[in-house]
Amino acid sequence: KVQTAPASGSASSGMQATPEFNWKMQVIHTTGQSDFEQNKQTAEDIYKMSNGRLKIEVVPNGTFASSSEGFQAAGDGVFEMHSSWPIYAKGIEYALLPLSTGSMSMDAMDKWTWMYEHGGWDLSQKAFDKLNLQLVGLEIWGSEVMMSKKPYKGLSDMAGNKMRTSDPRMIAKYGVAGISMPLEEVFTAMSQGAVESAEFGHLKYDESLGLVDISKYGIYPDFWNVHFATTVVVNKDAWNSLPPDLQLIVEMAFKARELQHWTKSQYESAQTMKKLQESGDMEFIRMNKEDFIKAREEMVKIEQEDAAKYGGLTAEVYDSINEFQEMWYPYKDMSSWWGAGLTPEQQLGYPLEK
Amino acid sequence: MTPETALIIVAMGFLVVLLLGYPLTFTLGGLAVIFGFTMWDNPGVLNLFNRTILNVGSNVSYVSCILFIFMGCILERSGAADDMFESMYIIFGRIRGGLAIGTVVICTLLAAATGIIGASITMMTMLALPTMMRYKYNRKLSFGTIMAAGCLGTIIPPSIILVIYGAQAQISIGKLFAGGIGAGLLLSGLYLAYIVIRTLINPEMGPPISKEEADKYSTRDKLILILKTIVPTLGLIVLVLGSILKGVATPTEAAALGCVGSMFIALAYKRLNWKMIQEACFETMKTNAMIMWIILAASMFTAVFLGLGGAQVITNFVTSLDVSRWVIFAVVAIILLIMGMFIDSYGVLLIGIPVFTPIVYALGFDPIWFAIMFAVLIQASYLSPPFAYAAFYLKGVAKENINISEVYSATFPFLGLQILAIILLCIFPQIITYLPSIMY
Amino acid sequence: MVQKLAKVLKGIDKISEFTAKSFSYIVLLIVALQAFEVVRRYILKSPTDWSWELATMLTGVSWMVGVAWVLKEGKHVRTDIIYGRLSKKWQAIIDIVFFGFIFTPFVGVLLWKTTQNAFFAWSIDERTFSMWGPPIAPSKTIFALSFFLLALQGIAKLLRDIIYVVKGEEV
Ligand code: NA
Ligand code: NA
Repeated sequence: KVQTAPASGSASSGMQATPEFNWKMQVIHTTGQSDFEQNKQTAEDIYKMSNGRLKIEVVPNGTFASSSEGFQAAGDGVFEMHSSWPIYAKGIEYALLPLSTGSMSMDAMDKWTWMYEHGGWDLSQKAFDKLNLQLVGLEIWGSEVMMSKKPYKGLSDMAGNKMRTSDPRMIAKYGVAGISMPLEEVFTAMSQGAVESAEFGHLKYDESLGLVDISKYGIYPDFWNVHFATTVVVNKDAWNSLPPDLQLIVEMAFKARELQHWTKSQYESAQTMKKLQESGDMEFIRMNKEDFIKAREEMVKIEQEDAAKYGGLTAEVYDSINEFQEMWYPYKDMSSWWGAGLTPEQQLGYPLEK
Repeated sequence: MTPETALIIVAMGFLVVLLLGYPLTFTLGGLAVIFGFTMWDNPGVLNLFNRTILNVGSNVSYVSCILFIFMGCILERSGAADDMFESMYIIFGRIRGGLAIGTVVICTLLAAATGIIGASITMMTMLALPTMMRYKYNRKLSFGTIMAAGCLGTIIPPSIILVIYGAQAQISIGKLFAGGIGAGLLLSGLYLAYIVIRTLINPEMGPPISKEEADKYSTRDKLILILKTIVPTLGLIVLVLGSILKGVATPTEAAALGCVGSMFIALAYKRLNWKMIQEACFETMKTNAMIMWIILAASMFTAVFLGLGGAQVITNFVTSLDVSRWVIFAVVAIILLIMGMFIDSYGVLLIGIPVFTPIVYALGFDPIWFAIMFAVLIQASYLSPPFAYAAFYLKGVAKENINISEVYSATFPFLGLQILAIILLCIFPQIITYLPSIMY
Repeated sequence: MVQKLAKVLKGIDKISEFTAKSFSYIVLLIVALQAFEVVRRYILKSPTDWSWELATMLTGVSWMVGVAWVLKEGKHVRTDIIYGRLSKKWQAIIDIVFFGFIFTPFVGVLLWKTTQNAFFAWSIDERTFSMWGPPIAPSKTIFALSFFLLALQGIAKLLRDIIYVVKGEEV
């Protein structure tokens, strides 16, 4: 049997020469991307915290399974850990869709509160039970941006146009043709004008793909995949073979970085926006609020259809979210921060230099 | 057992079974199962292969492969392809190696319409090879031209390799596409120069039309030939390309439009009938299944290679080097070439990006320049024996009886040209970086 | 005995060929799907959310099924550097040996695993992750079927090789 490279360190540091557990973890992204680097760092921390007893090798997407089958592969024990978007396993348990995403849905803080305080975590674990997976960590993603060749001021401006998006149901009601094309095709298609706009991720992420080169406008706020959650899961057999102290180390280590995933992506997106505005490479637009009020109403209908169609855990998740929101939004409205709804300058208290 | 020993055993096992002549598909698949089960300390390893099947079996990149093969089958059966190369032979007249030159030009155009290599090589093997054989072109020159020029599709945009690279290494795909144009045209130019020089020295390699035969055709005759036989097929390729550039179709859709177009050409040639379409379907199935099963088995083999710590071994080796930056670059290039001899090109990409990009960035190489160099090395891996997709496609599709050793040796001069291109791109990086610097 | 066996072997050939040829028409469907999608998007401005995925799924099943026929036609690429110089008898012996060492573990394991995977997909009515979300069990069944056909054709090839080595007859 093959061992991975022997552990460095000496007896005096208390490090074991060879790990008791050698795990592999496939992450949806790859070297240089925020979640990949973060998980890699966490794996290194776990190695140190466990005194070299548990070594997790982090490998990029596609090494052993494509994104669409990653969760199944982890459940089957092809690799022990996986970090990915739960929606990829929605073909096995549809509830993973409302558990991780939705159009016109909760913001990041709402989602965190629901996940940790109102049963979201346990419902997620229930869904992952079907895949033989243990949930140990959750990353909630920041706001995404629509990269566009046209300056849409609202959803109704998009009628008759084509947008690449993963869930086209809501925009279909606005006469927008949602295309679920893969990146391989979209890049050429968009640069040549076969598609007018596309969503992939937050601004920093889209910039790194070069989507800023082919789009003049960045449009906010995101109505698709709002505050998507990626999860870190462990194959249950592997998890159960781990002694309780190591289980705790794994859990604590991944939880410790959850928030930073959000802060980093949003901070970097803010830097990117400043850069792109100053260079004049892109213009940013915030869509009008009226469209969004209607869009939320449309989305509720779609959610109700989903709950009725899939029932079971899916309905349970929507019920839980609704119950939470009914209590949460009045409180949030009342207690929200002074600056909410004010202009950047009002929030600053002094004028912004252009 | 250390990962190093494991990988040596895997590579040796592969070489032995392959050289003894057992079919490549079964060799790769069988060894993946055996090595995975015996050497990888993981009880779940056998479940890996289901994932690989779905990975390859539901991969959008391969839709264009089947479409281009079908288009080739229709063009071949319509007689249009044969006519085109037949008249090219006449039109090039006394120019030596004319058919090979025409092949490189058409491959360069096709490269701008497709992002993968299987498509152009199978198409050109069906379309150009019969005519080259009929006119007694040197076999190795003919094979090499088709294989090497057929690989241009991965470097001239659109290119699947560059999209994957851009997405994984977080570099603008648009800039990569722009950078690929220079490198692709350089390669194409080198192939043309090579053909011209070789046939100049040795006319037997690409015999031109005889003097008496050439005198039979007036300029007018030739013009008519161009209009009747070259314009339709070449026009079709240009239309496919145009539909992408005009934003009408995505690259894969453009291939489908090309299939429809080829049926119209067959109709014009009065050869379109149900029996002909049926035969084209059967031929497409046979060719595509042969190709795709190699890709499938190679993906299984590559996944096991990675599972046994292949990437780690290479990282450890490169990071342990303490030499000048150009020496490190040379080492990286040589490692990529060696990897390309044994594993699937996608595997080379998957290992290469995370392992090498941080190293070369730290050494201060231009990211876009390196990405294109990387892509040039990947496309060399299609050509480098013994695991050479280009050779397998050509041998699998050709009607002629061809030995794989003959095909292998045909790759060598062109591999030499690719290495020359790599050296030229090191000396004149502007060939790559000029277009990206002015385009966006 | 050999005569009877020859009939069975021919039967297996026919099954491989028939299945592959039936599935080969799929390419026409793919052409139509993709071409119509261009019309729908570019001219009618109403693209579908299923055309791409369907074309991709169809592509996958079409080539998977062809493997047995490719084997029957002897079209799987081999390196003939050594193999090409051997007598037919020795070629058959090499194929017999590797059938045991290479072919059997590959096709055996994959037939078992793909069948298991297909049964699982049917049992939970597994869907793909896209919004269209079609069932994936049919594709997975065809993947398993492909390995079944390959196993069958592989055994036929083995029997032919054995008969050739023992009796010198080609059946
Ligand atoms: Na190309
Ligand atoms: Na190679």
